Amino acid sequence: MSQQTGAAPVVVAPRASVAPSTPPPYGVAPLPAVAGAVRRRSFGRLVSALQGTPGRLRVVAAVTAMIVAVFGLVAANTLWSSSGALERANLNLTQLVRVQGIQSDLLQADASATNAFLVVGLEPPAQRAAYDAGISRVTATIAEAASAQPADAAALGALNSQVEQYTAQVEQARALNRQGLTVGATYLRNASDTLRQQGMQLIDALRAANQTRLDDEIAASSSGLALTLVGALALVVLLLALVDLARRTHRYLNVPLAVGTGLVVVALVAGIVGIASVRSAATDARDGSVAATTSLSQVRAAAFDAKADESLTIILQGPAGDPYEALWSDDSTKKVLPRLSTLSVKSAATGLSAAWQAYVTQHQAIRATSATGDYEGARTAAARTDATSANATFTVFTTTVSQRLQQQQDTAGAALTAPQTRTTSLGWLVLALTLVAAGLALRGVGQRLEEYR
Amino acid sequence: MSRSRLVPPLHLRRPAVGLAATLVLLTAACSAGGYAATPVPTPTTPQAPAPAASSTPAGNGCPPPSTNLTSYAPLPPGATPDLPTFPNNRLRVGVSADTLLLGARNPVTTQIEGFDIDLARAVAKAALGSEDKIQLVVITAADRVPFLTSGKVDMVARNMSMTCGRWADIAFSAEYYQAGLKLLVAKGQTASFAALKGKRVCAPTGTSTLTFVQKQSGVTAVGARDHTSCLVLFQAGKVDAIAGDDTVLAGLAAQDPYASVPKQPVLTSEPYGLGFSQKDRGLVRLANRVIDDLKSGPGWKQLYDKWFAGPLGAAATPPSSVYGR
Repeated sequence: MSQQTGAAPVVVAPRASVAPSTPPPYGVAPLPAVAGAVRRRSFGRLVSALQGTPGRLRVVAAVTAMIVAVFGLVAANTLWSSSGALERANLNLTQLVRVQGIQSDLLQADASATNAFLVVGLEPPAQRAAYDAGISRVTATIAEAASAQPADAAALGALNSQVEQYTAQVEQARALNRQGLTVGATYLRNASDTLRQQGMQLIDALRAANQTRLDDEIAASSSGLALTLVGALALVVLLLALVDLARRTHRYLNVPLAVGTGLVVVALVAGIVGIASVRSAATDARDGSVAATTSLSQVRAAAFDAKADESLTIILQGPAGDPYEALWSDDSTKKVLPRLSTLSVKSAATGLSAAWQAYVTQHQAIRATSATGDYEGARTAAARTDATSANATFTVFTTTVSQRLQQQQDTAGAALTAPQTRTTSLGWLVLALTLVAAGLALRGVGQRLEEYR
Repeated sequence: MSRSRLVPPLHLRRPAVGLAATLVLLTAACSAGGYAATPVPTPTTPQAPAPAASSTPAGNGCPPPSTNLTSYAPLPPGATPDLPTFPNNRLRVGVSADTLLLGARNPVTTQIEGFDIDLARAVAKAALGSEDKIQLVVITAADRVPFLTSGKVDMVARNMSMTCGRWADIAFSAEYYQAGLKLLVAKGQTASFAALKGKRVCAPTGTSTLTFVQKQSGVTAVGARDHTSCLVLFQAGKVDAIAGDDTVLAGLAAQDPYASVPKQPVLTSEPYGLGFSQKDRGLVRLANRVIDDLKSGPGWKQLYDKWFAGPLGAAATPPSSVYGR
């Protein structure tokens, strides 16, 4: 670059090769009192260094080297940011799945508690164990999610306190129930209502926030506009420099500058291809395994919600339970089935609709029994756990969904992680190429300057 | 908080942090992964159903000389009742599942039981030949009249007071029990509206009781889904007293040693009748036959002793039936 440090209080000896026409006062360290004068003299030298053909060549050298270096930094940063955005997209997806896991576990625990207390009567140990396991997972996942994403901490804190209130009320309900007191059932219903209103509001907010972060990061990972624009500008400047040099020095080609230009072309193409490959990988993941992961999470949550509604239709015996049957039906026909039939990864949906239908058949049998007025028969059917029961077919469905969900999440994680190392390395490569190109630009112009000594 | 990041912040572990810092200035458009905090929705407290308009309409269903207690003449003994067709050959009865002593689910057996339930079974036996030809439909207090007028149930046995307002929409049997409106308060408190000035009094939404509380000056009426929900609010300190029939309050006090229904004058007299659709006059007359038979025989006293003798004391005499509508 340039040889002068125009504003420095200490005058540094300029290199003779680039400042031949202005012999400097060697070794004079100016006193502070005369610093102003020195500054003025330095400025004067700078002006004279930029005059005439050599001066113009110095400007060309400085501008080309600088623009090439800036391009290198922009390109490398774009690639690194892209890699970082993919990493964050993956972490956001993990967080999203955590949040949806909390939702499923809470609804599952609530469905177990409701079913155990009100449908079965004296709580069976297996149901109690299912409830306890669900709540343990919820508290563990909330802690994990809060440390993974501090931006979620406030919402997760509020959710945690909801869960605490919920479990406290369920314990109170359980204690009252064992004493045969009717108020226990009311505690449970209140706990369930609060959880399913306020708790789900919080979970919806968490889900929306993390989905937005995920989408934003995927979009950010493949934005190559700055790289392309600065790269194109660098090429234009280099070509103008080549033309200018050819014209002034009557030589057709300045070899170092031409090689530098070639390197910039390579860096630009590599950068654009790198970003394009990230874009294609990220888009494929977003529309494929990432979408399948979030859809399957929603399917699982809707299924547990439906199961809790089923219990409520049994408890309320008759028309008073109809609103819950309507909610059950919404979950089944508007959430579970459409999401399965439009799942972005078809193979992940294989057999799931049939598994859900197996449960739906059992549910409808319970409803049919209930519709004849045989509430006891409906209650007995809803409490059954043998292989063809509603409970068993439901468990088959949710277990399979959970497995598929895990597979899709793993696939999505791999798809988002795969281009990272490549893209980061490419960033370093592009930076190296452009720095060499900048050096070559200086060298190429320097060769011509030699001729003016 | 606004610059918080997912861990691990890999993008900052690059060796070229200084370089990157320069770059951020050069390419301000490049995002660095700072996220806005997730908004915490303002919790909307699950409101007890709004203490809305009482189900007691303005209409007067008691043209003179009828009163709120006047029902249709009972079916003569041995006569064939003129009954509607019952879906699935079961009498669909709207009941409470959480009013201890009258109609409540026994948490251990999961069966709904109580005074009202036994009475409903007696009507089912008369109408369809078996006590088990019955379908207990759990409803809230606010559901009682709409479920009858829309035909979702054939009968309501859910401690419903006979009022002229309700007579405008539905029909009642003869009075089968005379309850009295009282107040449940914390142990040691005085049970009167005067003593409860500035306090909150709970009653189920859609009941004549809530309307009564709303008319009292100096107290705040709080509506809840049912009386048991009032007890939950009472135990949480969100209401100071519960207004209800002595039968219902006895069931609540039995579940909480810190709640009591001290001796107090009855605020209003609450005559309980079974509710029917106005179209099913034949069923009303059959139910009146059942009620009269219970009252004149040992049946009524046995029912009273089974459910109320413990918490309410020795049996009173059954209320007398009034006919002439």
